[in-house]
Amino acid sequence: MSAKPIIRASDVSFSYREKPALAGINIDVLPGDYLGVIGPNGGGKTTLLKLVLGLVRPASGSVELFGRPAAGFREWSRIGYVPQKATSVESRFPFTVEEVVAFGRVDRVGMLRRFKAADREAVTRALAEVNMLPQRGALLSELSGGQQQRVFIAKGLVSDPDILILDEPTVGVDIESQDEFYHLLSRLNREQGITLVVVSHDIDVIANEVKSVACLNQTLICHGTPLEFIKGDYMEKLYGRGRKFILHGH
Amino acid sequence: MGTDLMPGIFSYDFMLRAFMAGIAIGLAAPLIGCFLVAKRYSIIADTLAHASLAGVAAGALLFINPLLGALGVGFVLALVIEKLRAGRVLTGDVALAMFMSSGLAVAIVLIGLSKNAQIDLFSYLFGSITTVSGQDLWIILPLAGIVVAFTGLFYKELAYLAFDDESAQVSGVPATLLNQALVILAAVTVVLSLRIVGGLLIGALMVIPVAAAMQNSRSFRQTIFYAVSIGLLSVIAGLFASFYLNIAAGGAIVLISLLLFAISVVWKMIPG
Repeated sequence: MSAKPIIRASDVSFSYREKPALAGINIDVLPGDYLGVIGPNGGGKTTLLKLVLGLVRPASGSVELFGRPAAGFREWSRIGYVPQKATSVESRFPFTVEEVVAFGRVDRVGMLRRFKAADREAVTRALAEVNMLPQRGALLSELSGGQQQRVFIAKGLVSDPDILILDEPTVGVDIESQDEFYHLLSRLNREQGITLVVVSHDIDVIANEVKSVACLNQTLICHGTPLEFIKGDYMEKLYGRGRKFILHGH
Repeated sequence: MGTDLMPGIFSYDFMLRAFMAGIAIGLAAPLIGCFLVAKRYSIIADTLAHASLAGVAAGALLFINPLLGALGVGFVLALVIEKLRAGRVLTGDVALAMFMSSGLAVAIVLIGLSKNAQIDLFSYLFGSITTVSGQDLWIILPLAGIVVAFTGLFYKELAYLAFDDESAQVSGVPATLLNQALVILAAVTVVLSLRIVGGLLIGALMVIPVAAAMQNSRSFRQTIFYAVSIGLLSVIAGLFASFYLNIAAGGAIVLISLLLFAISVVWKMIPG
């Protein structure tokens, strides 16, 4: 593929108070990719996302977004982000589904400006996309974990991004909703061409859904297709002896 | 002068000033309170309030308006608290608990030192309706205007930060700047409320109307509207109670807001 990478990390290293978290990471995410980032806890998955999102700066190396340095990147509406702890808000504080999804438009609207009709239409479209339109007036706290996660996807989609980045999106979501959730992601990738980066500890699911896999344990242990990952001996390198990979029949 | 109830209370200039200041507080305190509660910053209001008493004492010692002293201390402390929180130097509650009691300690020591300063500590602790001066109004009303204007202008950014700080940051919201501004304006709101509600009770006026509003509201926007309504009602009714029953204004205001909270909880339990 000759397309310009959406994300390019070149020789990126990062430490937390002198404890190395990531070392010498080189990775490209190309348009249309569906990348699963896996690895043990503390392996640097979330750190890598934070570097990509400009929340922390690399100690050495560089991160580029759409061909520009992440440090000076301003077009955040091109990136939809669904954080790990999907919300830090006082859980019983009343936010409606619509209010939450509209937050995804804040960057597009700009400071000191109000939401307009076009923004409300975008919210409606995004909610329809994830099948949550009937719940638009409901409070987020009234929804199940799976429904909440779909709302967060809608919030990520509402700015019409090129890429959606999800950090452990199915934590606290029941198995059935997880399946639905991954179907939704595949559909967005296939039909709308949205590039996806999903960080997960759930290796089985990830390797069955994604187009490429990156394994992180402070260094990039592997980066390739799910098949290469399965055939390689990476599970032991990542998690120690005795771990096997289970391939689901798709 | 009429003998009617209403003309009676409003024929006193100090009561007119108290109502003007009260309405400003009733509006500003729950407004800032909504964002503080959503961000789990509720204790910040109390910390700033207790610490601002040190500013009051310092102001008295230096012969400047105590509210200006409180404003200075509140401003500096707001920046320090937000810095500590953002840098995760101390877990939020430890830092706040330390500042809360130290502020009060400094206040008491300073007041003890200032033999000349004529300062009615009791009124600053629990609020009083007779103490709002014309000069105070010149401080209170414009500052309340700034608080209301700030929350109005940056409503969607502040709501987003309250909802999820990290995502808001990723969306390009200037999180550090707005979080600092929010805590500074919380300090400002504390100072506005010092005269009438008193340093020990301001936190309650920033939190209880919000807690009451959350019981029955169906959106963030509605929560703000309910909280401000409950705050205004509490202050106005509290001022009447303070005048006619001769009780400390702060206590009356907070008790009325508690009553409204109880009504909201019962209302929520009524089916349909």
